[in-house]
Amino acid sequence: MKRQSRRTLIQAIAALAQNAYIPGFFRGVIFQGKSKLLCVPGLNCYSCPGALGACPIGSLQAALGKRGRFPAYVLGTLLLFGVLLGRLVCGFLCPFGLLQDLLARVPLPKAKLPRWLDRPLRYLKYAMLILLVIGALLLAEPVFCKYLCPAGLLEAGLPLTSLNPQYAELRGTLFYVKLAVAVAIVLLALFVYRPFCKYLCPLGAFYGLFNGVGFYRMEVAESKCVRCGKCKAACPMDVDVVHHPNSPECIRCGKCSTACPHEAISCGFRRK
Amino acid sequence: MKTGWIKWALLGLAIAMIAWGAATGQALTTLRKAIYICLECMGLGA
Repeated sequence: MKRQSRRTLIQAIAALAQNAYIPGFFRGVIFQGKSKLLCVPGLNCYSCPGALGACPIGSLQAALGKRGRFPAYVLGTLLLFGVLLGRLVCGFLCPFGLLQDLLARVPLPKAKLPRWLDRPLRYLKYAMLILLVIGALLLAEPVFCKYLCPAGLLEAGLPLTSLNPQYAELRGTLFYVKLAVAVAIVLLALFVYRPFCKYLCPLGAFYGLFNGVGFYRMEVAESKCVRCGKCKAACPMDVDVVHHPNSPECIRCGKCSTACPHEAISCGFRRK
Repeated sequence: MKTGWIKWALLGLAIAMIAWGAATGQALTTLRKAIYICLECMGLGA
């Protein structure tokens, strides 16, 4: 099996495993078992009818909203995923990442934003991370989930309002604003590779901080590399792999490694 | 400068934080949030 097909298979298994409460999709209810004590690694709304675990971003906002209490449990969990896996989570385990990867496969012309626009927009996700922390601390409100998160609307809002009339009655302005945001992101993902991960995801921003110091690392063997640039050309996240193999933007998809004709790029868990 | 120790320190910190959070009942906050429908996440109620 080809490397990218194997990655898609792992992504699909991860998405299904995180949303395996199948009766929820038929009855319009959510799972209420003890497994929701645990945060899942990727962006997966806990109000999705199938969700078996808790969304780390939603949980972080809820924990921060409890003023005067340091959110050790959720932050510790995020730190654990970050230091062990970094943005490998984005490339392999996040259901919303899988959705965007599938959208990117639709045969439509693909575009890359010009560098002058792309570079500053990359910092937006860090602003999102700061904004959600401030929103939760000052307003005790999950601002990211409430106003932006497309996963919440697509995984929870649409199925539950379709299946359960009592939720359908609650649709108001906010629902349609969030729907417009989600549709815009989905449409953009048809033309630009993973726009949400590149520009908006606070979880990706957090995990990216650990790409350079965590256990899962990428290395370029200087002795094998001929600077042909094929890795940079193959990278869908536009990472300069030779100079920044552990860039916070790298989602560890492995396309650079596949593209390298000299097998100079390796990735894996490093103890030292 | 060797920085290999940083990841081990972060791993230890993460485990200590999870253990402390679980011991002080913070995991139940996560559970309580996650087992009820989150109207905000769905964009409902406003």
